[in-house]
This record gives sequence, structure tokens and C-alpha cells, in this order.
Amino acid sequence: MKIFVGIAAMCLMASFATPSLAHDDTAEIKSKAITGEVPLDPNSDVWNDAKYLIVGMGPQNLVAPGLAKGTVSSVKVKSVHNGKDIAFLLEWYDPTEDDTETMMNKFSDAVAMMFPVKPGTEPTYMMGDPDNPVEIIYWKAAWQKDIDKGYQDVRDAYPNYNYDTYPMLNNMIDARGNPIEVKDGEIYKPVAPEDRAINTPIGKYTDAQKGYLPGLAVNNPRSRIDRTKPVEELNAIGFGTLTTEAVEGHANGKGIRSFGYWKIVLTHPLKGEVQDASFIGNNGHFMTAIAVWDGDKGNRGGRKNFSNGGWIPLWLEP
Amino acid sequence: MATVRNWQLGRDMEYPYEGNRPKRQITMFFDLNKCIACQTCTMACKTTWTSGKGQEAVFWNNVESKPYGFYPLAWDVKILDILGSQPWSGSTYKGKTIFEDTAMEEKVRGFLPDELDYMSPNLGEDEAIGIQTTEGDYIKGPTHKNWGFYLPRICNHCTYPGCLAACPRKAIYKRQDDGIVLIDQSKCRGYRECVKACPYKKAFYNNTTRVSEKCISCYPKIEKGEMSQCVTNCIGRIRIQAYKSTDLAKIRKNNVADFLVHVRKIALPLYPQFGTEPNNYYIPPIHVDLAYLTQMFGPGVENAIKQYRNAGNDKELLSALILFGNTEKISDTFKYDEKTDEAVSYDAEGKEIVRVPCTEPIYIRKVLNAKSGAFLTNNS
Ligand code: SF4
Ligand code: SF4
Ligand code: SF4
Repeated sequence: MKIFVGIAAMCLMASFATPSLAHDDTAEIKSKAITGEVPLDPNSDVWNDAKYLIVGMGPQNLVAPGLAKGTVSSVKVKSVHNGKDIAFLLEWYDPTEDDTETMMNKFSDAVAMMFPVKPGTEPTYMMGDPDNPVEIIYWKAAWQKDIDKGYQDVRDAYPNYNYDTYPMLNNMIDARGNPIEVKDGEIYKPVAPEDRAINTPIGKYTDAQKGYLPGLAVNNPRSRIDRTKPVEELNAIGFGTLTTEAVEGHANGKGIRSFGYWKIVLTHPLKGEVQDASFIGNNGHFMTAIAVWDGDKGNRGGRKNFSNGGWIPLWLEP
Repeated sequence: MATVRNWQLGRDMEYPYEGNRPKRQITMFFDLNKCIACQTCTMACKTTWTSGKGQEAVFWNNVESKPYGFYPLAWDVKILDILGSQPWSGSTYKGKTIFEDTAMEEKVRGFLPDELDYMSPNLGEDEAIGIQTTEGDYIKGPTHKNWGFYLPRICNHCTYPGCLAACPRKAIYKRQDDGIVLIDQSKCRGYRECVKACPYKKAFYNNTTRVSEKCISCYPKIEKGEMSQCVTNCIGRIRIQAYKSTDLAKIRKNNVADFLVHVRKIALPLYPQFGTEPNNYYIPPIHVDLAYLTQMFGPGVENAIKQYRNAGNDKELLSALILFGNTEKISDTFKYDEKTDEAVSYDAEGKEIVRVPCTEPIYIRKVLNAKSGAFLTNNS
């Protein structure tokens, strides 16, 4: 009942948010063939002519940690392709915008689409299986903010926070990249507030200074400060096996807020690397599954909502 | 769920993984009668390991004033509250651990603290006695008679770690060689399930790198046979580290850890009822309320206090206690040397590491220093 109301409200809102041709009632995502580049912009006119599918979401509670109750009831999906790339537009209602992971108790809103790597296979719905790997395209609000406003750090999360210094002050550079002079262990040059250690972007750290940021020092993708895309491509062969395939891969994406909704575009080449999902052959018939996280509700990892009907058929219109 | 043996609870318990005890377990001992809350240990750890950006509010080692000091705020009373009142029957724990009776969607019972809970380490430290419940004081609840003590805390490198059990990525592992529990910095995806699950709140999130971190037991030192930074820098000499036998059938009476834990039973685990089989051991403060201590250290408290009061007559125990803070090298065996009235520590090859007199020599200083002609007295 709850889901039904949710869907009705969603349809109503959606008709204001994006003029749509028609609701597709065959429970299949019909990817519309277009000419020209697939759009990265969620507000592109190209989306107007694509049919949408409302996908019901349910809580992941098969494997702990999970969710006792769902936190996002449905996602509206559209798709277009141009024979070279495919793009998806995903929209869902989330009244709270959660776009930081720079605070220990804050989690980011996010969405992911999962595809079998090999067309025609049906991997286990729970993140694939060893014989049938899956590829996941994962967009996160926190990464979008990193792209839009620069890598979010302590200073961004806590504008009024201060901290005396960080290690290796002798080599410390100020916020403008100039070395801070040290004489007899004392800071010789008075340091203006904007030049304080806490304000120095870690992008300007030397390798030795980065050594004090363990995740960054071992190249954990989570700590990546030079993202140019708000999406990651990942592979999995079952629960707990999620592995980052590429941070700067072939997939791309862009997310925006619109009247309490997230509107996210994900793009992917029809044929990428060998570990990428392929959308070639099989008479244009493929599959996908969707997961959505609401950061405000502590959603992360397996604490997510997923498309509760299992795999969703995806058909690339010729 | 597997069934594993938790000797601290005197029973088997449920755990998400099969039991797999390390070959030997590095353990840390704290004599709470001696800690002066100078926080030298805290700073030794902080300056060695967590001085980077994103670790501003992180203290792998902290010292809190009990009963009302906490870091993070209310960490122990919150998890005690979540577990509810639980019974011991003699030395067998009849209650539920954090791994038992969990909700379907959880692996471990726990809570994720608020970011502000880390911002004022030891907030509440001054709230000790009734007269302080006036305007402006933080704690409005019940107060206690005039006692208090300092509780230094680091990760317990648990035998059944809550952090490890909760991590869906299997990014946390326990080393076979020494039982040290580590978070793989390249594998963690920052879900903070460990932060939520660790009942001691000793897994932390790094705001800058967006992955979780925890005490590494100073493993580069441990691997060299030396004790950790927070041990060797302890001003009060309240700490010592040693390898404890993990096979209870092979206890060595001349090993400091085995002796203190299994022979004299003077050193007790912190909140054993959580079920993680923590590997830090505390000698309880002898003047503190017994009910409070029993809640914190389990049913062995009375014996531990009796042993401590008797240490002056028990030369073997005295020897073990006197080695605290007197050497940087990890002791393999120890003994009381009757001839010289000294505690002696040996390494694994049987080589002597240190000798410490059990009785400090007494020097009596004359009031008049004949050499300088000065009177050395404060009774002017
Ligand atoms: S250095 Fe030793 S005495 Fe000082 S607070 Fe730490 S444990 Fe206590
Ligand atoms: S004390 Fe906490 S962080 Fe340390 S091993 Fe135990 S559960 Fe893990
Ligand atoms: S053992 Fe080392 S890393 Fe752990 S708290 Fe002590 S000083 Fe810090």
C-alpha cells in the first residue's frame, strides 16, 4: 500500500519535473535509439521523448548488515542509446540532500546500476557470482560535490574548526602553495588565518606529508582527491567482493537536485573493456538492477534499497 | 553463526566466524591503582600515529576519569544500556553478548556515536560527588560517594573482534603471529560498520581519507620485541605488555601475562560481558565501589583486590608487578631472585633483560650537609 502511494505521488511529481511521453507498463526499460551524443545533463531535452519505467524498491535484508525498513520506495528510469553509448536517467524522491562523507556520522546519498558483464547470462541477483560477474556503475552525491566544489575536507565540513598544525610543518606550505618559513623551530612568518595548516588543501601536500593520510598513501579509491567523474565502475562476484575497477573508467555521470528529487544520469559505452558490461548482440535484450542509498538514514554498503522485482529487463530499441 | 569458546565468560558463545586463536596473543596490562591521568600515553600515541589531517578528534589511546568521564561521550553506558541488565552466575556469564540476539539486519549490536561525542574527550570528568550537581554541571543523574579512578584505554585486539565481525568487506583481520587486529587501509570502503560495532569504540573514521582506522598496537615496535609507545612512555609506569598463551592447557607460570591473568587472576578484562574476549587486562583500583568494578571487570574483582593487597607478602606477584614500566623489551619469562630480592625479566632466548629491586633502598639524608655546611630541611 505504501509503495503504491509512493508510486502515485512519484508519477504526479514526475509529470511536473520532466514532461514525459508515456509510462511504460511492460516492466521493461526501453532504451530509445537517438542520433548524436547521449546526454550527460539530467535536464537535457533528449530525455523528454524517452519512455519511463517506475521501479519499485525494497530494503536489502537478505544479508546483514541490511535495512529493516526501506528508505526509498521507487526510482523512475529512462534510457537512450546511440549505437555507441547508453545513458540512463534515474530520479527518486529524497527530501534530505546528503552529500558529505567528511564527517564520521554522515553518509552520502547514492545510486548504482548493476549489469551482467556477459550479455545473456543471469548472474545471482545478489552482486553476481563467480561464474557470472557483474559490473556496477556507482554515483555518489559526495563525489559529485568533490567534482563541483573540490575535494571535501575537514575545512569544508567544519568551517569554524581549527587545529594548530599537522606533521612536517617545516615543509608546510600555506594555502597559496608558498612555503611557511620556520626559524629555530618557530614559525617565523606570522601565519594569516587563511594560510593556517588546516586550510592547506591536501592536494598541495608533498608525498611525505601525504604519508600521514594512510588511505591516500595506499591509493584507496575512497581517498582519491583528483576525481574528474562522480562515478566509479566496480566489479563483483558475490556479496563482499565489490572491487573498484576504475575510478576514471569509461562510465560517467552527473547528478543534480531538483525540488526534493535526485536526478542522475549514468552513461556507459555499449562495448567497453573485457570486464565491462557489454550491450552488444543478444537481440538488444539485457538486464539491470538498481540500488539506492539515503545517507540521512545511515544507508551505506549493504544497507541499501534495491529493485525488489529482481533483474529488470532492458531492451535497446533498434 | 559459529559456536566459539570464550573463557572470560566461562561458556561457549555465538560468533559470525569460526574460532581461530592466534599462535600467541600480545596483551597489555594496566595497574589502575597507579594511573595519574597525565595523558602522556595519549600524546605518545597521537604524535606517533594520528597527527594527520582528518584525525583531529581521534585518540587511539585515551584516559578517562571514571565513572563520569568518557571518550567518546557515554560510550560504555550506551552499550550497557543497549544490552540491558544481564546476569552472571558465579564465573559464568548467563547474559547476552553483542553477537547474540541481534536483529535480522545486524551482525553485531552496537551504535554509531555522534560526531560531537568525540569533540570533548573526558567530558564529565569533574562530576564525581553530590555537591557538584548544581547549576551548570553536566551530569544531573545519580551521583556516587567520593571515589574515582582513571581508565586508560586502547583497542583490545580482541580474540573475537566486534569490528572484524561487522565488516562486510572483510577488510579487518587478526594476525596469527601476535593477535594484532588491523584494518586494511586499501580495502576499507568507509562504511563505519566497525565504528558502530566495536563496543569499546576503538575503531575510528578518518574524515579526510574517508576510511576507518584503529590502534595498530605499534606493530613495528612489537615485531622488534619492544613494547608499544603508550607503554614505554607511561609516566606512572602502570603498563606492561607480554605475549599470553592462547592455549589454556599450556599456561606458563613464569610468563608475566599468563601469571597475572591465569595464575594470580589479578588482571581482568574490561567489560568481558560484551563477548569479544578483549586482550587488555586491568588490575582494578582497590578503593572503588565493588558493584561498579564488578560491572566493569566481571566477577573476578574481589579476588583481584585481595591479591593486590597481599602483593607485599607475595614476592612472585610483587616481581611481576614491579616489572611494569621498567623495561622497553617484551619479557618472555620472569622470576623472583630471592638472593638479591630482585625481579628479573628474560627474553625468549633466556637472556636477561632487566633486574629491578623489589624493595627500594632507603637513604637517610642528614640535616646538616657537612661538605657544604648547608642545612637541608624544610622545617625552617
Ligand atoms: S601515561 Fe600512564 S600514568 Fe599517565 S595517563 Fe597514561 S597510563 Fe596513566
Ligand atoms: S577493541 Fe574494538 S576495534 Fe579493537 S579489536 Fe576489539 S572490537 Fe575491534
Ligand atoms: S599500542 Fe601504539 S597504536 Fe595502539 S594505542 Fe598504544 S601507542 Fe597507540
